Amino acid sequence: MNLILFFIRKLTETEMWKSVFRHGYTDTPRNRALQTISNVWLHLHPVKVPKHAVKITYTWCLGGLTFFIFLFLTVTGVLLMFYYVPDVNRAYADMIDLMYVVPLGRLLRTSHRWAGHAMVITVCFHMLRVFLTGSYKAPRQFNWVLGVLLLVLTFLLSFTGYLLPWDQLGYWAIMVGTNMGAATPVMGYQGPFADLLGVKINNDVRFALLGGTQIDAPSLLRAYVWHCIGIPIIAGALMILHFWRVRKDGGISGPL
Amino acid sequence: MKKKLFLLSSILLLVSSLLWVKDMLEPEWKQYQVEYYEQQRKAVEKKLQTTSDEKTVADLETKLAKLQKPKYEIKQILLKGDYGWAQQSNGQKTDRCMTCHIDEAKLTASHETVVKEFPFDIYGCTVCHGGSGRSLDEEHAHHGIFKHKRAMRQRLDHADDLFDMWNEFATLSLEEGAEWASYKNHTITGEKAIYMGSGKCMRCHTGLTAPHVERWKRVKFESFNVIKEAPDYIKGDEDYREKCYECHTTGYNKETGTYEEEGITCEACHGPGEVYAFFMDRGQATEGQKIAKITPAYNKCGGTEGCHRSRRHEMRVKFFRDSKKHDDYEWFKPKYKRIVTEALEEKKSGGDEEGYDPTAPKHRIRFVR
Amino acid sequence: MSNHAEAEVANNNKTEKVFSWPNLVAKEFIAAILCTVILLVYSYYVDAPLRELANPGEPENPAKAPWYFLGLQEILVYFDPWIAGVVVPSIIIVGLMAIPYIDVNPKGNGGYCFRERKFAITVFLFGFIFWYVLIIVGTYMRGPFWAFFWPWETWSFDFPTPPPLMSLPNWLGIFALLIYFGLGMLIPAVAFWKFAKQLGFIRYNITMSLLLLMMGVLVKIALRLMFNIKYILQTPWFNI
Repeated sequence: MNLILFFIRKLTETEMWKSVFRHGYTDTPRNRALQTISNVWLHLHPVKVPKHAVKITYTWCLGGLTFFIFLFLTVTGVLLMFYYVPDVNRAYADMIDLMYVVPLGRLLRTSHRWAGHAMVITVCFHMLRVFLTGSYKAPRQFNWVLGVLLLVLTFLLSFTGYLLPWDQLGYWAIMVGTNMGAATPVMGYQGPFADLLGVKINNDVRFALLGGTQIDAPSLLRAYVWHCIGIPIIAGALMILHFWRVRKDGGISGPL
Repeated sequence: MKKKLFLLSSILLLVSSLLWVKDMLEPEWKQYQVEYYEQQRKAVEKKLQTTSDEKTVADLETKLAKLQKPKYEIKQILLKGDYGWAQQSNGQKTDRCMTCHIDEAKLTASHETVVKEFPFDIYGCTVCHGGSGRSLDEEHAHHGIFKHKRAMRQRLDHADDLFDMWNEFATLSLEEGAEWASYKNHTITGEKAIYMGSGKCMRCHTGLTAPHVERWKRVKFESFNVIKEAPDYIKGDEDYREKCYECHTTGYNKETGTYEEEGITCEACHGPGEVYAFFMDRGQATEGQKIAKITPAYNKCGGTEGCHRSRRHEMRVKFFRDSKKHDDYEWFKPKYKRIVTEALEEKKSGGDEEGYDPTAPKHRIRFVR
Repeated sequence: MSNHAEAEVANNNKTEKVFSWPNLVAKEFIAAILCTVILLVYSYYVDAPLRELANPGEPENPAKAPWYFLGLQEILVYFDPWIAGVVVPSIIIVGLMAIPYIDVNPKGNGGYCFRERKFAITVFLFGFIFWYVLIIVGTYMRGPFWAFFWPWETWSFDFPTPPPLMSLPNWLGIFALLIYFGLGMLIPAVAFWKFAKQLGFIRYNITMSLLLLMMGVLVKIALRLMFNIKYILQTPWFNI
């Protein structure tokens, strides 16, 4: 036992070890603070948080879980991108191959799908939690606005992903969704005041969403690009803002 | 408390990860392959005990060594043909059925009637059996499947179901320029369609399209009875006669040398009537019509395949030349023509038509002008 | 709410702080692990849905949007698409964003507390539940042709023809709208004068119009279900 401890001490005293780990692990206040500060991932947190905030029944961890699921979706999503091609002539076959032939492909696809739904749920309940604890009140008003935008983006992320399997479920769900877009006042060809701008089926919002007058190859590509690149980047940028503002607007909400 | 919770959740994470590792290492299809190789191994071992011949023992031993370390893997047939959303398909056509249905000997045995013409590795399984060949779990793969012939026949609701299948055969075929027409003789089970016999046709078609039916009934239907009386046919052995069968019977099978019906009856030109009769029996006359419209293979009459080619009867020359009893030229002047000439001559000389030929052959042919 | 007292206690010693490491981080870590476990296990037992290849020639019946939009699709029964699909979600989003700016009540920050912000919590919870009730109806109780079925009924194409719909004459429609919005704005202002004054003129108007719009959706649903009213107002350009 002593020998092991000796070797551990020797190892932690080497120059290489010290270049990687800047502080010891002994439980001292200094090390606890350093653990947060010197870690790029953990320094999202302040060194100290109010005691009431760490109670699980206060936040239910919903914001954190939403972010975690977002990361989970990013990882599984990137892996799925290795196998999936947004081509109307093979997308569906790629899905079946993912389910049965790709090692752990079923895990990737299924957990990505359910995690997407889970994120919608956690984001909604995060909003409910924030409302019920009055955490949107001054000075955090703007962060609530950012949160609402992130909620919308979460819906859109999930919605664009819905088309990608290119099955009947996604196809007709997107049909329903985009047909509603066609009814946008002024900007949709079926909406009121469409003639005001001379909006037709081939130049309205729905056309812009689908890349055509019906759901076809361009729509699949658009859904793919928005789902994998466009919206994640926007949502990522807003998330950075959201987390930054949590810190800058006085940390986690608490009684004033 | 927190530490225990952490430990517990870590264990749960480990367990759930192992669940997936197990799923990856032991997929559903593997159990079928395990079972199969196990069976094979046992069979070889049994054989090994009973044989003493050195060479076979060595062969069996190498076989056994292979079977003791079987490679479990997904097996698939990549099929020919276009794929694309426009054709309502996605990805190169692939049948993975034999990943579970791995016993090829058993499959060949149970597909005796079709496997020769539609080898598994070219035509796959789903063309006849339906289902999803890409999928590897039973529920998905067997979705919309036609397990046996009965189910396949039940699938036949419209003539187009059959036409679609012929089209798919033509697509899958390795032959250049294969057309759906080449598969016209196949029914929905992929087997050769059955010849129903002219009796079946006549049940409805006597009286219908009368001139056509009556004429053929009198002349070509009897053609086999004519050749039965030909001296060279009577003398000839089965090899010789097969040449006659080729044209003078219905549904002649070159390989077995058998025919379905004597004489050139309905199905000789109109093709085997199984599917047609199926639709007509069910009262789906319009579907039957569709079949009737496409089945007559009129190239049967001439061309390079048909009967009406020049010098088909030259094989008979030798017999008549050698025979002292017969006219040298009878081989191209069939007997009934002689009868007709005789009859006409008799008529000229004022003979009575009723009793015109007491020595007339047993067949009932009358030349109709 | 029982947490109200706790919030007050917390108020007293708000300066009390603990280290993030390990107090917060450990909990986050456990939550993340458990979340992963749930996802892994759930995915193992329940496959993600995958139907037949997309076929434009064979519409799904019913064709349903993803579940989180089924609330909107459900409203489609009662409103024209431009309202249900565009105006309603836009107002919801804008209304949600407006919340921090129209709720000037400083109390109840940092704890679950109903007593000090009854109005805000009631309205928000109502909207939240309303949204999910619509989703549940849309998900589980709508069958072919969007006909209503109880969850225990099997879907069939053989459902009774819905009764014919009628629209209010325009004069009555305008009158009803004026009464609804006019009285809706005035009565609370008189009845809860203190509350209105606290909000101020602009905030009061925004708050009340958002509230009235939300209740309006409910009123229209009630009108349709009880009196088979199709439109309240018809114009050459749009109908409400």
